[in-house]
Amino acid sequence: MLNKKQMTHLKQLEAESIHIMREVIAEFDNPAMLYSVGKDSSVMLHLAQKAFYPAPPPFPLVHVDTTWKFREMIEFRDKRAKEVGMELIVHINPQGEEMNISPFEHGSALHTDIMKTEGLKQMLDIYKFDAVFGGARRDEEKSRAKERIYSFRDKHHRWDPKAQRPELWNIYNGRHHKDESIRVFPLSNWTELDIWQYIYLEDIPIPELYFAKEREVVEYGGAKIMVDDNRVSDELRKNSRMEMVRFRTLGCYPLTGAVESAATTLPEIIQEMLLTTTSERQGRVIDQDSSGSMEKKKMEGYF
Amino acid sequence: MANQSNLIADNIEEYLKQHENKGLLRLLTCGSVDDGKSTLIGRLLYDSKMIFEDQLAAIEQDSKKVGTQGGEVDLALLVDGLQSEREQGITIDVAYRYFSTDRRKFIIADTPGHEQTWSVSQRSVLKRLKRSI
Ligand SMILES: Nc1nc2c(ncn2[C@@H]2O[C@H](COP(=O)(O)OP(=O)(O)O)[C@@H](O)[C@H]2O)c(=O)[nH]1
Ligand SMILES: [Mg+2]
Repeated sequence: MLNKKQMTHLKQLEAESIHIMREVIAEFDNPAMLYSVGKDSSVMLHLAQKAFYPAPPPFPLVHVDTTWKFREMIEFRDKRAKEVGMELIVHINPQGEEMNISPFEHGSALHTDIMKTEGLKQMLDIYKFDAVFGGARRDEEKSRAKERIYSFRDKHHRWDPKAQRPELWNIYNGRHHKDESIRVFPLSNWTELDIWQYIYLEDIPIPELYFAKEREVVEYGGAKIMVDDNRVSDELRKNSRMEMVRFRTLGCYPLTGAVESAATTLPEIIQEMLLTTTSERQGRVIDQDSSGSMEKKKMEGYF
Repeated sequence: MANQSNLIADNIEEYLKQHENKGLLRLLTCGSVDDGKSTLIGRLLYDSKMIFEDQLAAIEQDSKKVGTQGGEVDLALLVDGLQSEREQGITIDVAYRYFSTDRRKFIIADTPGHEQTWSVSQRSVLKRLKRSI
């Protein structure tokens, strides 16, 4: 067991994340934090507040809005940004908006490519951020398990998995040329369980969508999706039902599968997570395209 | 998932309390190429029930195409996550994997075993490190 001098695993993870954030602020000119409104972003934001307390974190929150996020996510995003006193920059790919890109009509791959990956790259080009924090964790997916904490990107925002820099112990190499940048993953070493346990212990606000509630859902693309607005076609909606469901991850509502659940408290959510036999990414259409799909997306500039 | 403790179902609050106070241990694999490092780590994750059904189904599928086990499940694929690693059956870069017991959280770094897979910059760092020791 632990002796008094040792820190618990959560305290060690917290200290590591805070160290990473402070290193980035010391070394980079124009950092930003990608805020995707989910549980990992919520933890990352909380750690950023701790890292720079009592000042608000010295960088803006940025959100690439696909226009298809759950409405509750958008409300939560705007409310949290105000509460923590940080600037919030929202970017929507204007071409995609003009083309009315829709996951229903154009499919998940094209939608993700235009509204997420392209939108993100546009935003990075406009604001010229040289370091962008993201809440990705290595335990999420097999190509993420191979990524550095400081993940280097070339001037086209591309990741080259075969030319990653050494990262020894807690020594981070931030050197970069003009127009090159890094993505920073302060939660690299956290697991899904660590995240939930920390949210529970620190009482971190997260969107209600994570908790079970009666919601209107319908079968679509092999998943149970929520009818979040009237862009769900009448044809599809004919078969909708009210069910007790919650979400394990949050994204675009037509691409995010709900799980049947009665978990209305954090311990119940954690209990469910520990007893489940499938990974959290299973409910996401984006990862199921093919075996190397996340790696490929990352090489194209995706987070 | 892991932690096949009865407490999870019976008394989750008590389970959470126990798991608040874990230590953290980082370890890495060392050895020559093809010594079985990645397979060992894959097996460890498999035996400690850290592998979700959808992840196992995916590597069973991939084992038929790229595995080194003649179609049988190749557990090294759990750590060799890059496309080119899977195709070549070797570890090219470090993978980090996680598991925990009742007492400790573990961070495992599964490393490549041959110097050739290291990039020029990595080799130069290694050389400098060796000189400084
Ligand atoms: N017979 C036998 N083969 C093994 C064992 N462990 C690994 N291998 C095989 O050795 C080869 C190299 O394994 P791998 O885990 O990729 O080695 P690494 O380079 O050290 O990571 C693969 O074909 C494995 O299937 C073992 O315990 N017994
Ligand atoms: Mg290996």
